[in-house]
Amino acid sequence: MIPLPLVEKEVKDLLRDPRILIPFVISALILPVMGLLVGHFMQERVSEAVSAVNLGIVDLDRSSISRLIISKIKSCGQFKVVELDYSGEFELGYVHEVVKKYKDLEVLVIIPKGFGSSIEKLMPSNMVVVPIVKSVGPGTSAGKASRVSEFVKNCIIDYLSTKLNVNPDVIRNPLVTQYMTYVAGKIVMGHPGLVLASISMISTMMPMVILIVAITTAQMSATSMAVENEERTLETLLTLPVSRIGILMSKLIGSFVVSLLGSAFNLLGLYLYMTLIMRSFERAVSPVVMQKIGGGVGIDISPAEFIIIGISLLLSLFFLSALGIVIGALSSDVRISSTIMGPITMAIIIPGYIVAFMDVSKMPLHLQILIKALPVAQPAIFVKEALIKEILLSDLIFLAPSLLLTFIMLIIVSRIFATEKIITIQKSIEAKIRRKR
Amino acid sequence: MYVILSRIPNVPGIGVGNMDIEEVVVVRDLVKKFGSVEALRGISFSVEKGEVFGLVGPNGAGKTTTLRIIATLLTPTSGEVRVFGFNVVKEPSKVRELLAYLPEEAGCYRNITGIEFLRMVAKLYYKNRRDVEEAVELGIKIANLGDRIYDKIKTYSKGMKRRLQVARVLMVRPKLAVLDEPTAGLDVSQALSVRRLITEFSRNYGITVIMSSHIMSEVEKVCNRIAILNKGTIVECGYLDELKSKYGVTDLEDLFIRVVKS
Repeated sequence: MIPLPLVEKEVKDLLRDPRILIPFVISALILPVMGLLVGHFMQERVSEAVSAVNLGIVDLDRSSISRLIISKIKSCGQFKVVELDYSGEFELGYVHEVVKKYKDLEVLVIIPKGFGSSIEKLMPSNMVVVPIVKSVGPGTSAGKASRVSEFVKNCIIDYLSTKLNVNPDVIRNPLVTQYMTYVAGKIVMGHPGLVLASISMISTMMPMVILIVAITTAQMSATSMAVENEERTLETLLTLPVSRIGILMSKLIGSFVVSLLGSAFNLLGLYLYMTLIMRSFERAVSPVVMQKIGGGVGIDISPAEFIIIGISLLLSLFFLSALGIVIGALSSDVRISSTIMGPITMAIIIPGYIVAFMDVSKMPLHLQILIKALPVAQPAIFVKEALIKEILLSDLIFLAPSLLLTFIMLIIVSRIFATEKIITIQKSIEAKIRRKR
Repeated sequence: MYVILSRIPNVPGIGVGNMDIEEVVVVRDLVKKFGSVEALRGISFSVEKGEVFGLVGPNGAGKTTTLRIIATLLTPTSGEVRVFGFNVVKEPSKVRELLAYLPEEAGCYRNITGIEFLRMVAKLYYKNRRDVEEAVELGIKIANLGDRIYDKIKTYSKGMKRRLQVARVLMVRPKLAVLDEPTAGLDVSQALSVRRLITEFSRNYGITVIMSSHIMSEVEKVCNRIAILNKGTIVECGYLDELKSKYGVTDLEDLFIRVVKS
C-alpha cells in the first residue's frame, strides 16, 4: 500500500525546494526569452530579405534589351539601383573597388557584352551576379541575388513571349504539378518537400520531448533521495511504521509527480519558444507563404498506438525513477548525486539523439535490437514509428526487455531499501574512496 | 513544560498479549561487525516495561549501533534482539509500529512546516482523524514553538529542530521510545524541559524509554537503570544506586571513570 502522507510530503518538500523549483522556472522562462530574441532577430532578417535590394548594375552591353531590363528593375520598386559606369574589359579587381566605394551595396550585377544579341538570337544569355556577403543567416545577400536573377529571367521571358506571341505563363510554368504525398496511411495535399519537412520536425521534436521528461524524472528522483541523506532524514523515515516498499513507492510516485510538473514547465517553455519564433516569422512574411508552410500534416496516432506508447513511456519513467533513487541512495549529498547523474544523463541523451535524428530501421540489426530494448529510446522510437508509419507488431516484443530492465532496477532499489545498506552504503563508498586516495 | 493527556489512542495492529510482556527489550549476545571492525562484541541486557534505561559510554563504545539495531535500522551480525517479543530482524514492521526512534543527528525536511511534519508522522501512526489531530495537538504542546510551528523547518534553529523531533517521538505515545542523545544541541533550559518530558511521559503513560547519553548528570536524573558500554562490551549494568554503592562512589561520573578504567 502506498502511504499517501509520505507522497504528499515528498511532493511538497520537492516543490518547495529552490534547488528543484528554480531550474523548473528558469527552463520555463529561458526558452521563451530565447524565442523572443531569436524571433526578433529572425523577423529583422526576414523583413530585410523581402525589403528593397541595394543593387549595383554594370551594363557593359548597352543594348536596347539591357536598357529595357534595367529600366524595369528601376521602376519595379523591389530594388534601389545604382548604375555604375565602366568601360573596357571587365576585371575582377573592379568588384573590390565597388564594394569599398558603395558600402550599402548588397548585390552587384554585371551585364556582359553580347547579352542583348544572344536574346535576339533566341540563345541563352549570360549575366554575372555578385552577392556581397556581410553576415550569415536568413535574408542575406545570397537570397537577394536570386531575387535579382529571377526578376531578370522574367523580364526576358516577357520580352520573348511578346516577340514570339506566346503566353508568358506557359514558358514560366509549362507543367502544373499537383502533389499528393502518401504518408502514415494518409494522403496529404501539398508539396512533398513541405510535407516531409513538417513530419520530420514533429518526429524529431517528439523524441526530444520524451528525452526532456526522462532526464527530469531521473534527476528528480536522485535529488530527492540524496536530500534524505544530506539532511539526515532517512533514519527517521525508515523507523516510521511504514513498509520499506511503501517508502520506496512514495518516493517513486512523489518524484514522478514532480518530474511531470517539471516536464510540463519545460514543455511550456519549448511551446512558447516555438510559438514566438513562428509568430515573428508570420509577421515578416506574407499570409500566402505562411499558408503553404503551415499546411499541417495532421497525423493521427491510433488509440492502440497511444496505449503502447503510454506503456513504454511509463516503464521508462519507472526505470529512470528507480535508477535516480539508486544514485541518490549511493550519494551522501545532492552535489555527489548531481556529479554521478552527469554521465548517466549523457547515456540517456545519446540513444535519444540517435532516435531523434537517425532512421533506426536502417541500422544493423544488432544495434536496432539494442536501441529498441532500451527503456529510454523505446518510447521515442514508438512515437516516431506511429507518426511516420505505424508501430510494428514485431516491435511489441521489445516491451519485454524494457519491462525486465525496469523490474531488475526496482528489485535492486527495493533490496537496497530492505536492508541496512540504505544506511551504511554511502559511508562504505566514502571509506573506499578515502582508502584509494 | 507539562502536558496532560485526555485520552491515549491505541497503536493499531498490536495484540494485547505482547503488551503484557515485562521485558520490553531483550538483547542477547549481540554482535555487530562493520567489515573488520567489531562494534558490538556479544552484549546482553534487557529493558523492563515502564523504565527509563540508559546506555552510557565513551564515543565509539557502540551505543548508537545498539539503538539502531533495536530501531530495525541495522541487522545484527549474530545474536538476537526482541522488542515486545518481536524479533527485530524477522518482524521489523511489528517492531516499528511499537517504537519511535530519535536519532542523534535527526534531520528535518527543510521545506515543510513544523505542523505539516507533525501531521505527516501522526497520519502514519493513526488512521482515525481524531487521533491524528490529538497527536498533532500534543506535538504542538511538546515542541512549544508558538507560531513558529507554522513556519518552514529550514528557518528553525538547531534547538527548535530538536524540540520538534522530540515532539514527533513523544506525541504518538509509543510503547517504546528509543532516544539517541535526546538533548543534543539543546541549551540548558531546553535540555531540562526535554528531560522532564521524558520522565513525565514514562511515568504517566507507561512509555518505556531506552536512551543513550554522554551527559552523566542527565542519565543520573532521568534513568532508573543503566548499562555502561566500552569498546563494544557491557562492562556494568544495573540500578544506579546499586552500582554507586558497589563502587563506593557518590555520582555517576566517578562511577563511569572507575568502571571504564577497571
